[in-house]
Amino acid sequence: MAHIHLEDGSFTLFWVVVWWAIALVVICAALIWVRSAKKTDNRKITLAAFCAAAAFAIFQVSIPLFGGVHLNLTPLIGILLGPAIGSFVILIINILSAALGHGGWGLIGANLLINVIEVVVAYTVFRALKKILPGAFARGGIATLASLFCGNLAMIVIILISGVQGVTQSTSQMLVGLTLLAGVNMGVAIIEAVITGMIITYIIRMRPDMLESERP
Amino acid sequence: MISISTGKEWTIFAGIIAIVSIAALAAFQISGTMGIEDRFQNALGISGEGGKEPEGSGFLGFSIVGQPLLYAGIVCGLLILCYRAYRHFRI
Repeated sequence: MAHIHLEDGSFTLFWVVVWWAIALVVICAALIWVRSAKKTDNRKITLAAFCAAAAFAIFQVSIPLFGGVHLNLTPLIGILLGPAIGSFVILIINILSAALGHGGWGLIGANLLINVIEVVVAYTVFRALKKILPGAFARGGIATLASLFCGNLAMIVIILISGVQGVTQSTSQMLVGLTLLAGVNMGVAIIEAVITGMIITYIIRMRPDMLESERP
Repeated sequence: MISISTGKEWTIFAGIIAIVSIAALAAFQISGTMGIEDRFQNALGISGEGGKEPEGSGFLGFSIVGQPLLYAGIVCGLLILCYRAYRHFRI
């Protein structure tokens, strides 16, 4: 998972506003996309509620691995719901997480962008690989790894562009530190890839109609 | 149609996992054992106590970030929402 675990005040007000503004544009685009659809699938609305509950619940649990990490299920959200509805679910999870003190309020914009990138990449890779890898488990797992890799890259780029207040390290030192952090995050991504692959396979076996890309 | 992963697909997936595992273990060996908040502060060179869990908190090493009561309240609210959506849309 990729999520900026810094407190409010880490980014300057300028960058907080910039990331929030871009995030709002993304949310507005998702809203227009959903509204332009002729009919919203009721199954997707219910699935969105389940995804929000599951992702929020698992996101707040610190797992005793590598000293303490957590999952966030954003690739699963992307594969099941698509980029538009997935973006709303991500927004809700980020707001509720900030309410618990998991990430600052000012960082919701930046974190939302990182998570939206994960959602979009997972959705795209899962669909794009359908002809090459028809099996859902491997395809879901690879889509998850690709998505979380891109999310980690986005996290590094956002932090390096924004800079962090009170940090005395040079940009290259920060880049080295953040690369190591992303490397450890990718270790956790393996667990998330296996979980996502299992859930996708289970859904396809039990309710294939729930997954748009797998409908005959 | 139920799509089961074939041997070729498993091989590709296992190969990617092996590469990612090696990279992750190398990164972990270099950076050391620490919580996610501490790992962030260490990566950026920030000194602070943020994110440290008190000794003995959680269950079998698993712990909740933030107020457990608020967490339970929000999860309950979301579960009620799920139940209502499930009943309303009859999927």
